[in-house]
Amino acid sequence: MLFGKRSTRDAFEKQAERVFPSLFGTALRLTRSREEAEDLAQEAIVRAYEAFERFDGTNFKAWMLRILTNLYINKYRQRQRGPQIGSLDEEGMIEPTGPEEDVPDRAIFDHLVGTEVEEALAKVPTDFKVAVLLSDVEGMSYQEIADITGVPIGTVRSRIARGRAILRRNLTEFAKKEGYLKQGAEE
Amino acid sequence: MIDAEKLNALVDNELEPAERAEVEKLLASDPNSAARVGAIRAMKTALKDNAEPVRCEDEWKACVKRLNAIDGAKKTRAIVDRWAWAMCSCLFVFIVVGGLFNRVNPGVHAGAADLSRAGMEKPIRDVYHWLKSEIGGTPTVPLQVINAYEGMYRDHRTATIYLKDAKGQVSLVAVQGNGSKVVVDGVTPMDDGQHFVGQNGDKNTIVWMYKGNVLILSGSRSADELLTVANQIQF
Repeated sequence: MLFGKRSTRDAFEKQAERVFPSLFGTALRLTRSREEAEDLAQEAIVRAYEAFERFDGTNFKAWMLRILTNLYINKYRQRQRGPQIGSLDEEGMIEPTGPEEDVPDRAIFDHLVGTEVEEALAKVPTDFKVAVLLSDVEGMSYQEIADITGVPIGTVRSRIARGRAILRRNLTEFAKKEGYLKQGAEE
Repeated sequence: MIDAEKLNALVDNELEPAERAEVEKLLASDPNSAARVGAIRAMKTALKDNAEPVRCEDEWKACVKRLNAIDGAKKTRAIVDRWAWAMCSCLFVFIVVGGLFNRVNPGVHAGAADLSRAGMEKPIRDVYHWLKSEIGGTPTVPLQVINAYEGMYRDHRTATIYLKDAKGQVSLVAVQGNGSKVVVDGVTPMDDGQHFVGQNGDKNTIVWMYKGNVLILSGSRSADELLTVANQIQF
């Protein structure tokens, strides 16, 4: 019995250590605070360890990210002040991006550095940001993102499209401000 | 114009083959959408490339520490869960044995400090019987016998008889010598050379020996009056 528990711990620790950088990175991008990210990631690890016997053994990283994002959405977002754009009914939500015909200059993305992207990402509503991060940074499929966030695959598709549109707008504004892109260049 | 969701799904390789073929066909004749696909790809790449790897060795160590703490708590809980019945049984046995021991050796803890309250009440006949077998005689006392107790005093068995007359109550304690010396603290020899006098709380006490056993008479009256009573007690 004791050996069984030890091997469970070893198995968990081995897998958790492998995915921890992704977990912590996602936590950091969501919270934008190293201290809060540590709390969030640690809490996710503890929850996962306690529920490890119920893990189906298929996709550990997706399972861990699901715990983390659920924790973040349930716990951390409650602390945020002000209107929650991401929590509004998505079908009725006003599209906060420019018109569809606006075609951004792909060159603006070549000038970007990490902090600029992080800042632009921070302005994206949570649900959209989670979907974009999981897709673009963690390389998750739409189905995996749907499993992680607990929403239908169609919603994931919509969130990624909208999230990227908001991000593109933020980055474009940033590029204009920094002079990478001339005013009105993308119209 | 092609739907934005479809363009994003195309970039993410999330379209069904048929849908993908259809979108690609449309893209060939829609340079605006084609440019949007290029921009989405560029942004996806920028996001991936700019997501710098985060150093998190210390954070992982903190997690391992927390897991160790959880394991420690689980282990303790498991031991308690596993052996709870045994611990309860031990406690139960301890209580039962303690109760039985106390019944067999009444007053083993109670008599050391206060002789007048030492022991367990017994029928006077039983106490007299014990005195006859252990002390070597039963007392003839000049006062009325109220009740009697058996108990212990510093590893010596005792019998206490409460007596009463018009002046009040006195107690006679017989401490079995048991072959060893019985030490009674705080008493001094009297002039007759046979009795000792002292105080037991707020009561005067007369102490004397009988066949290697110690007799102690205590009461709220003068030492001389107690000595008179003591002299009238015959075994």
